[in-house]
Amino acid sequence: MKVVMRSDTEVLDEVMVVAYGTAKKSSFTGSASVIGGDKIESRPITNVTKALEGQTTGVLTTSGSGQPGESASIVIRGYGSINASQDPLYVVDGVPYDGTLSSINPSDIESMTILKDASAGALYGARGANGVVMITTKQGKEGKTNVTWRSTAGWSSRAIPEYDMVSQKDFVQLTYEALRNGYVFTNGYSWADAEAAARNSLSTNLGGELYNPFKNYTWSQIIDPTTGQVRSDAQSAWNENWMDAILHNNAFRHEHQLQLSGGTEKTRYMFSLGYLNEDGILTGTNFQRYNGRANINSEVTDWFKGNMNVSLTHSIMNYSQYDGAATSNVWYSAQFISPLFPMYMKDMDGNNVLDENGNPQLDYGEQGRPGSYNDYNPLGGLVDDKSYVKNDVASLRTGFTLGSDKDDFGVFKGLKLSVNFGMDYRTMNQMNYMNMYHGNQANAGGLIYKYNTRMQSYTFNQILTWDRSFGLHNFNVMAGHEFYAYQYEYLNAAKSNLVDGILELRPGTTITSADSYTDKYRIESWFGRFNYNFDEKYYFDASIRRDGSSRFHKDHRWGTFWSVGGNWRVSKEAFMEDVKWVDNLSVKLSYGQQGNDNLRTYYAWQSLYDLGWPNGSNIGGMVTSLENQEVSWEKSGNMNVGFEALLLDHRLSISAEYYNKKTTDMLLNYPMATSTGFNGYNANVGDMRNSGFEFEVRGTLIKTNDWNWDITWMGSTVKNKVLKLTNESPEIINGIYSIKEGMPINTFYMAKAAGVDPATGAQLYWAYDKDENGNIVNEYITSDYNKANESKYYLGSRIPDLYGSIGTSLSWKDIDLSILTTYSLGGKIFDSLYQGSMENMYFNNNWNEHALRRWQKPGDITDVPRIEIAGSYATNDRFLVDASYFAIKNITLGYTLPKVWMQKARLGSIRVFASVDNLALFTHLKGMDPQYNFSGSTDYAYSPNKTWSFGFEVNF
Amino acid sequence: MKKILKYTFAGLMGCTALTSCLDSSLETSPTDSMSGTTLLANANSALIPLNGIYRSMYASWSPAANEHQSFGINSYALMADVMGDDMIMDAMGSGWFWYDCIYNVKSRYTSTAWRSYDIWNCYYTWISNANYILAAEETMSGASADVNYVIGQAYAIRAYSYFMLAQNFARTYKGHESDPCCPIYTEPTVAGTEGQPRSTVQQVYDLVTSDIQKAVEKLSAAPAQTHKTHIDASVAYGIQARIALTMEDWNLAKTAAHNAIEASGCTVLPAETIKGLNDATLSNVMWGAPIQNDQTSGYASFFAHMDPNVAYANSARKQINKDLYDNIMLPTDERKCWWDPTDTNSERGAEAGYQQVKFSFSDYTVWMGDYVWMRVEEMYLTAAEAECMLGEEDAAKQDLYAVMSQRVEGYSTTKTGTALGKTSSDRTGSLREEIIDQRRIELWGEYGRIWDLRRLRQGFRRTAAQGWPAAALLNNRPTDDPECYMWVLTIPQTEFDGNVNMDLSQDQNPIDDYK
Repeated sequence: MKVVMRSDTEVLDEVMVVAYGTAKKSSFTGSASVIGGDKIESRPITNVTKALEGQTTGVLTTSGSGQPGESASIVIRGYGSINASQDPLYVVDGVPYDGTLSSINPSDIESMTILKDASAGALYGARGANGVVMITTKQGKEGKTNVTWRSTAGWSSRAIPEYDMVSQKDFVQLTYEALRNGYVFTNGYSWADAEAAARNSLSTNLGGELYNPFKNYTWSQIIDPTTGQVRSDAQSAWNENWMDAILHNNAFRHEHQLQLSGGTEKTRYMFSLGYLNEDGILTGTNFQRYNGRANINSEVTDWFKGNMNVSLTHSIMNYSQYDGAATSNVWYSAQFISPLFPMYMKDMDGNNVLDENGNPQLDYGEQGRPGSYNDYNPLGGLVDDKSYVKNDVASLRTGFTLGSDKDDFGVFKGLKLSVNFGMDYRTMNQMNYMNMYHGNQANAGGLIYKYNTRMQSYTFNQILTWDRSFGLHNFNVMAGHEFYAYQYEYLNAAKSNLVDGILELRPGTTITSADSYTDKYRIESWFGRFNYNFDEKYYFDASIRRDGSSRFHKDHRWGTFWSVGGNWRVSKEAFMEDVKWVDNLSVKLSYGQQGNDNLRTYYAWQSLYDLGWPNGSNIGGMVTSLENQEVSWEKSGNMNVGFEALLLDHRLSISAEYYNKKTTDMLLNYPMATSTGFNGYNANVGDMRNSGFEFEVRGTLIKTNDWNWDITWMGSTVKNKVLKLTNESPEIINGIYSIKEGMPINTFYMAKAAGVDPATGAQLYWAYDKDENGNIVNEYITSDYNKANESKYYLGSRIPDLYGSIGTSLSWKDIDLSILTTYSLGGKIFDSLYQGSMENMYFNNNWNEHALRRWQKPGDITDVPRIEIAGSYATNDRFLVDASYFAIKNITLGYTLPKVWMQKARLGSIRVFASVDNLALFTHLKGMDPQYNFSGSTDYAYSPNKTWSFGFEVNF
Repeated sequence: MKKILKYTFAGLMGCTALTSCLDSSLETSPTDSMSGTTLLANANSALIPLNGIYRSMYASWSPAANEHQSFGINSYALMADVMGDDMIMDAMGSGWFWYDCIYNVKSRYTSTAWRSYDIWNCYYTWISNANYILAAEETMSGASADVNYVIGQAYAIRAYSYFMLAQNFARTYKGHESDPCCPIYTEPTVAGTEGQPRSTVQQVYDLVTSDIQKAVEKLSAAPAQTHKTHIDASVAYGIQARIALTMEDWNLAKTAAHNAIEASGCTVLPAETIKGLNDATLSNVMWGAPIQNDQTSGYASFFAHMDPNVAYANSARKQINKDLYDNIMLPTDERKCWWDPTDTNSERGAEAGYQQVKFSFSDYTVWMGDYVWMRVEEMYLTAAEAECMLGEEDAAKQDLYAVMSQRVEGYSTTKTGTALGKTSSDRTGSLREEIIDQRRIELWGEYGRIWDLRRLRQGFRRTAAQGWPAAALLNNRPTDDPECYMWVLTIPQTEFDGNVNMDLSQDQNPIDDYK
């Protein structure tokens, strides 16, 4: 690290790590926020990405999966791209990081800086357009060795409550009505005939009497013909919720850290060791991490400094390998299964069928469970199938610096050369095993996949800096060269027909796949920066970077990225001298151009035959991409204007910024007619704008010797507008989303519900015709779902109007309390999980409680149509839910034991703390995860966790 | 000390200049792909793109969320069968093919996870891959027989693909020659290739007939197939026969079918021998895919939907129409062993149709089973039908007997004439109906019943008595009207998104059954 320190009178002025150096917050020309390590330390956070929500403005996060170790996704200042990546660049200790984010121990983090605008990020050139997250690890401090031991223990449960689903009796009632409605409306039966037919076909559809929990009535008798309702005195012999059987509340999590740090005037060091073991709330899921880190830096002479940071991490994640609507994905099957299905095998009287040891046996449905869940039990599947990912990540950051700021170096004073080398190395060993007794691969005698990948990347740079002051003129100039190389090697093989208990390929008899390949990616860069300030009043900053990326054709490989910025410290002006209540006031402005080369392919411009199509023993290939030599970076023109104010004797700080970020030459899959054999080719054609306003207010309400009470309020807006697509196609429609010129990205585009026909219970929709100019004319209401599908409306997007956080910290003597809440207003979510339990596709799906509002007989006025199974509907806005939410993200209560006691015990300090993460979430629909993703959909995914934890920290 | 600094400084600056790397280090290329220009240079390496196309005819590669009902030729044949009257889906099971069966896919054209996109994309992918090969016709080096082998197959693939597109995206050829069909491309696609407007049915069939004729010519001067997936002269004749049958070009259908039989050297085999339909090496198979165990597609495969040993087929059983089995198939027909009326596994009990056992994995523990795409029995039945239509009833019966002598002991028929009922249940007792009946039984699950119904311009009515479940009866739909658009798929949204010459409001097929 090239630390450029200058004396300053402002005690509270933060020094932050920025691109290739450091800067002071008050005089920084760009936009950057710092999150201190203390904000993360006491929280039960396993993956650092989950600590970012609510800590800074301008950052949108997803909740991330509840699978221990999994990351959350973040976007900085809106959605930078349509087809290319929107992910920010992660930089660890000055070098872009290619390890896994879950391999970083949050306790090792000194601070994180989020670079949001061009002035802050342009030095990351082709990789900086989506913002940069800079993670800086802890360094030793001069002084005696400080030893810190911290342990926490915690217990996790579901953070988001389950959807409200109907009871067994209501389920039977709705199934009956679905059958009856089918006979009436599809097959043209009379109402009475349909009722009789429905009563008679209940048994076939619900699994015969074995699966009838109501042992005092048979399926054909359970509906009272006089009322058409389930008989009220029906008695259920079992009610075994599948989800309850596979989730365990109070999943245990414990974490232990040991840190040694210290140093002399010349050499400083920090060692840390960490161990984490976190059970997931889903049976069989777990994450363990072992990590060690050593950060050493030494000043050999007054002109020679060296540093080396090394970290080694080994982690194992046990997870469930299924996703989406796979039967074996319990978040699909168990969460929405018929409540009639028992977990354990039942006899005809509804009693458990016991094995020879007298234990109940899991029901795999082999005795005739209806529908498609053949030979499947969710608990059995979770226990018998196995999946893990083992990651070994090694990171090295090393370098040395020559030169000095001392006067006796003459003309060389202030000139420094530093050479840095950073390397990330990762091997991943993954296994997916499907068991040989039940389910997917029982036929095949079990199936095992093994994956092995090796990733190695390095960054090598040489940087020259010159830092001098002449009177009131202060200069800091930097020039450098960097080379980045990335190599990824993939190997996978699978075999079936295995030996029980041996989770290896060797004993398997049949190879079902074997594959390997290697990817390479390289960037060469030249860059420079010029910083100047006059009297620490007027700051000017300019940077430039030229990158050549292997992703592009040699004629379009090199791109230039730059920024200029200024900062005016108004409070330093003479006319402000008398304004005592202003401690600091600065105004800043920056503009620049950044790039995004992450097109999700390393070979974007080439036309290629994919050789993964062997036909028997003949080599086979298919064309996968069209050549476009001109494909190149996305460019992002990024303007930022803002002010920072520190007022009232440092008790009030206000900062606000406005940004306008225009992505041009946006990478699009340039649409082609599908009939050409391609839906498009990679091309730089579109434009999109993200703009927004961000503010942060921190106030100290009480500050006495014993009491301290701070409140922080942050808010951000983001407006997104697609400015230009292609001439051929000013709109890209994909399912329920439209990307259209003049509208926000991923605008919901679907039919609009218009209530329910009281006569038939059919779903009604708004429909329209179009005149010759394409304008909507003649709107009317119809039950014709095909017409509704042709009459779609633009119905908003996931993008919130305002989001942010409110946090507070309160301390009294040695007790401290902090609360972090987050909020998001506006935006919509299409909850397909909700839709899936309101427009059921299968007889064995359960219904959401809202389905009880359904139309039942002619004359009923309601918003839920008649019950149908696998009915035909136009996807409509009934399932478009307001995305606003309020969440209590974290509450931490700590107590630092009195110093007097410590001195007696010869300890430095002891702090005990308790914390709860994701305590509560308030949304418009119970069960829905409002932060599943950025486009506003939901999926059958591992629900996020709430974690209670307790811990202590000892320093000596 | 400072001198050391100076020298080190200067030295390091020099080193820095050296690390500035050569531009060549920024040249990278993938290890799982290669460029087309080298592949198409000679007839030997040009087999690579050809084999790629064939692999995609039995691999599963549709966009995720749809791949379990998209695995090339067999998936479309199965789709076209469950759309008809003879193959009953007992229940929706996991939902695959069910929406084809109940005609609930056309309105889903905006999604890439449904049939409209799947079929359109699949055939056009084959066409574009074939067009690259055809573009190299003049420049490809190698012995002329070897070049013919490659180019002839590419023509055949293009003909086959356009033929299948025409069968799915327009009403049948006869009587609808001037209806809009699909866009035509005969040049290789490059970045920026402009989308073409819909050609007429006639224009598409003109290309199809000329392509298949070229294929026949080239392949007649080329070696026989070196792999069962490859289209050689016999298979090209077979495809020509199918096309001619659909176009009602009876003379061509007759000669092409006879040529196919002769060129293939295949022989009709007994029903019991071919039961399972999973062995492409049998002597009746003209075209098929012998699938090796690391190239199977697991659940996303034909047999997973047919063989009740596997979950999909178990929960969505494929059964034969009981009317066809009980009343139309002769009691002594050996093909009765392809279905099992005694199977009681259906949840619908006696209401169900009869469970199929015609198709099964050869070894379900490793998902093994070859696909059969064309067998010689079909050619005899095609020739018989064509001859019947030409009034050559004796010849027709000869060809019919070539199959039936292996199916029903002592089979003969005195039927005569070409009359067909308005729907498949309206019986006329004609010879043509007899030939079609045998075709329904023989090719059940293989050919795609709806494509026959379309070209015969026959409607159908599903009934509970036939064994159809209530949810798939389609009572309120015009399945008895062959002029309706129920059988004509919608064109996917992605086509309109990328095609300046096609407009959704003007060029989309009717989304409803009629409009």
